[in-house]
Amino acid sequence: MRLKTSDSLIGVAFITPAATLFLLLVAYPLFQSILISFSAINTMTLKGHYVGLANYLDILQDQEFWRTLVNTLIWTAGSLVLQVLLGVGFALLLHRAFPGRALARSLVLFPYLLSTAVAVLVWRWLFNDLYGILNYGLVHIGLIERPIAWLSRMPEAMISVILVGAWKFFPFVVIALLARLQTIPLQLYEAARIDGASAVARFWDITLPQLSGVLAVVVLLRSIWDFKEFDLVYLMTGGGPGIGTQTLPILVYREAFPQLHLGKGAAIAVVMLLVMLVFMLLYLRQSARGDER
Amino acid sequence: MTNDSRFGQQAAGRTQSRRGVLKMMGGTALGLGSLALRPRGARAATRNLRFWTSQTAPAQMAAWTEIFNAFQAEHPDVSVSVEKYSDDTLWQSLSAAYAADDTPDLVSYVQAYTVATLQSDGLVVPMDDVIKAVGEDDFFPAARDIYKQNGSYFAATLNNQTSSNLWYRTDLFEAAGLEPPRYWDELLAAAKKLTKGDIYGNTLPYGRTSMADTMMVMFVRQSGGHIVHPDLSVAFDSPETVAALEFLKEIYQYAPPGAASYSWGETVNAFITGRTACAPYTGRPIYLIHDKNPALEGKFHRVPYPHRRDGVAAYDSPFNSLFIPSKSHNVELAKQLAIWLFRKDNQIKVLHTAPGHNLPVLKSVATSKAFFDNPLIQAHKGDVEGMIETTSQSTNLVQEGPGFPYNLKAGSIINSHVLSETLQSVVVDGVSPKQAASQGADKIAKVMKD
Amino acid sequence: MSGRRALRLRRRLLRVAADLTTWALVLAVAFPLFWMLGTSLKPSAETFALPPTLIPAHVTFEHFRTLLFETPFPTYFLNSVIVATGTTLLVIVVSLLGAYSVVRFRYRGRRLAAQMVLFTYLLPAVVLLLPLYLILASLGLVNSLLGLILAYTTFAMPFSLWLLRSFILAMPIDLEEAAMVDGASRVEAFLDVVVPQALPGIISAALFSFILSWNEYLYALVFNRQDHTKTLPPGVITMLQQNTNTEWSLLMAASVMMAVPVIVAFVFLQRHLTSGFGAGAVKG
Repeated sequence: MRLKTSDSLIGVAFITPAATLFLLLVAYPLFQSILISFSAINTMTLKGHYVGLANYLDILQDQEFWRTLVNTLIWTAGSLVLQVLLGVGFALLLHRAFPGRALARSLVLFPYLLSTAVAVLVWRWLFNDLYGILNYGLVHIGLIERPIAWLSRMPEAMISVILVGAWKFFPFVVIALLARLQTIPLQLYEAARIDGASAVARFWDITLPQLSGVLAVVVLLRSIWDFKEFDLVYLMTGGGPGIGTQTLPILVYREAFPQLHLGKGAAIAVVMLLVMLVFMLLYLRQSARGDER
Repeated sequence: MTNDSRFGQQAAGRTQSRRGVLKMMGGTALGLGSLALRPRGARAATRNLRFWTSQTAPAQMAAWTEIFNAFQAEHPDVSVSVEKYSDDTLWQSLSAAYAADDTPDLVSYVQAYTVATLQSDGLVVPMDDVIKAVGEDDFFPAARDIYKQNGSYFAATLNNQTSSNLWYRTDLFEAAGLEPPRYWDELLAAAKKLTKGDIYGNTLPYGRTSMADTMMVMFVRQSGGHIVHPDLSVAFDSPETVAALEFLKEIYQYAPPGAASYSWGETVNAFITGRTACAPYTGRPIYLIHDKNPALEGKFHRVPYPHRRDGVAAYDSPFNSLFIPSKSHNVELAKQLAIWLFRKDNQIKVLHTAPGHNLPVLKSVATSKAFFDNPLIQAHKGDVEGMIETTSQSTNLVQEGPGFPYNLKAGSIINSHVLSETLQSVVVDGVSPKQAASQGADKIAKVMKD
Repeated sequence: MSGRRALRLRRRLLRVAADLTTWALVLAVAFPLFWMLGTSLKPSAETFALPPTLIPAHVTFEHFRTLLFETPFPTYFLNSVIVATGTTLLVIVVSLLGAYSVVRFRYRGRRLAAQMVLFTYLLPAVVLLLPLYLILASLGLVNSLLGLILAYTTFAMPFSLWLLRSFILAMPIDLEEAAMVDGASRVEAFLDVVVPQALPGIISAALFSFILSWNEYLYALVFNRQDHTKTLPPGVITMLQQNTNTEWSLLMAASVMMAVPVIVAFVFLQRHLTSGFGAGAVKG
């Protein structure tokens, strides 16, 4: 490759638009967010003053914050486990050749592409206490006696939100695994079959180890995304009943907008960011390992 | 595409800064979208009045368009654009508008407590000229004086409504040999008796939403208590509040399973689809049942919401306001538009868009033939008159009773959902009413101090 | 002989059973979508009929008509189209240039740029929400579609950059060099050689940018409060939260219409979508 000064100038020119947008819309706001978290600012009037660490101390002493953090972890872990189980299961099913496979794949992937707003509307209608098909069906086949308040009691509300989250996001796991499954050499299975390994044994000894690399990355990505998910939880329950399903992004939104505590909202967002950084470092390490392979 | 705010800026002598250019680009990009909402004639006009409303159902949009077209005909250099806000996000919308110096000129249908808070921050313009022009004496005193401070009016009630009604199914009550309830214990007994099969005896909104918050204000007051004392210290932690919470907990058993997340929509749906024997609501069931479920026509009525036997009759209304944000660039014109909206014919046009729900605040309208000249209002004349009577006795958290000063934190109390959270902690988390009342009082005290 | 036939028969039965199970599970996952479509075609009164009808007893298109002619839905739809298309165009141009630069050129801060991209990709939207709101307010871009487009680049651009970067990384450099040996300039080589080769990646990135912006709720909720600049997700949710009664058949009709562009994009470009996932989102 010829190296010329003009070349590196072109390189810089090419990165400039992206870098400008990044500095203006990501770096500067992020910096500002951190600054705001050290002040008490009214969201409506934008008037405020520096308060040092007061917002952070306030948060750490706030029971609501800790309960919200626990909720966030329950939601993240619950929906993640279901996503992985469903994802692996469906990926294996859809990897086989069967009639109508292309259509089946599209149908399974669809929830992931759907707007969360739409997914939530549909599920709230399914969950409806008076006219929801879910309650009606369950009562009809005798599984339950009275309709269940899916979204307005605890722990039902948390379970419902986790179920909907799993439904919405497991196709991501399916897509990632399907791509990887295609690259597993068939000879491996042939050899195992000749050795007399059962289907279950072949899954544990060949498929799973082959998938583990992708699976690790997928789990990390999904845990980051679930941790920061706002739309789905907020629109399903608004964080209720009480604060039973309130997660950290909802708390940030509530502090900053309805309650007008911009500084406290920013402080919670920064704390969230710190938690996420741990996930990110894990991700970076994992993908670095992946690159080496 | 004529972007009128741009002309406004130039007229104000501002130079086209980078910000102006960007704003222009934004304006041009959204131009197509905004055309649909603008009444005809907007393009030729030079001054644009921005009117905010939460009432944008097709019939209501038609009424606004008709009213504003007539206004534009009298003021050829003016165009009025209707912009919609939604009640649940009004506070955020207003914050954004004030922060971005992008406020409307006239805002309608905002509740009394929100306007009072804006007033305390100096964010609204006095409206004395408007009230005088309409006629001070023509207003029902409750509707007029809610926006009066130090002898001056900072907003005007455009029309009113109340959700302190109990709608009940006459057929179910008769079949069970029940009279319409006047007291909580009677309502509780009826709810218990009428919960059968697919029907729930009573529906109340227990969700963490504005409906539960405003209903809680009513329940505490009906119990004989208050949210704050006349000296604005917190009065919530009282035996009356505990009694109200106990009643609400007791009657929760006879509500639909999802009641703990119910807001306005679910509450009225349960009633108009025939799944509950009673429910609180404004006058909307009158036209909703006519439109959506005619099978129930003639089988329902309303009474003022029952109160505690040892308590008092107390009702709550929002006092749908008209106010002018202090950052409006067209204050005088906005006042003229407000006066225009108070003209009798325009009042009735708006009231008839949701027959029975919107109630008049001008005596001359409330007693006029023209107001009752509507098939649905005619058919439910007794209920409508009853509701007008109830609104004339209504108060609002912003001023819990005569002799109370303005509670400027009323909006914050409602928006913080302290009241509905207290209710939820009792029915969802099983906290004892006594403990919930005391925790609620602490939270209210914190909001009052903020 | 008969033992082998029995074995084959058993295998075939097993396979049919597995196929049927697969389809049953797929249909269970897709049930909410069928229910959405079914409800959207029911008259309002039928939505609160007991027992609920699985297939509409009366099929009606009245809700679609209501949506199109009596609600601000068309405005929201148009706004969403403008925002999603605008974001996609801006993001693709900027990130294609950026990705090429990061992969093929050597200059200081190049590695840092790549890491920053990843960092942003994983940043919670809510962290940027407040300051972005302030920036847009100070630029006068609150309540404008341009403001929303800029806000969406914060997540669509890192994603596209990351995806395109991995596409270009996998591209052999020889073709570009050959073009330059033949006298093409760097820019010409980029346009004539790199862009056509990166096309599958561009399509994937464009699709994802479009879908992400089409579906976004939080920024749209906070930044664009007014009806004439509202996009579909908050617009449709507002219809749910109205203070009057909730009309489920109307809401389901809105959901169906909202899903249509995504279905269309998906059906035509499915292959690219999955390959994009494989290349960009997962391998990293």
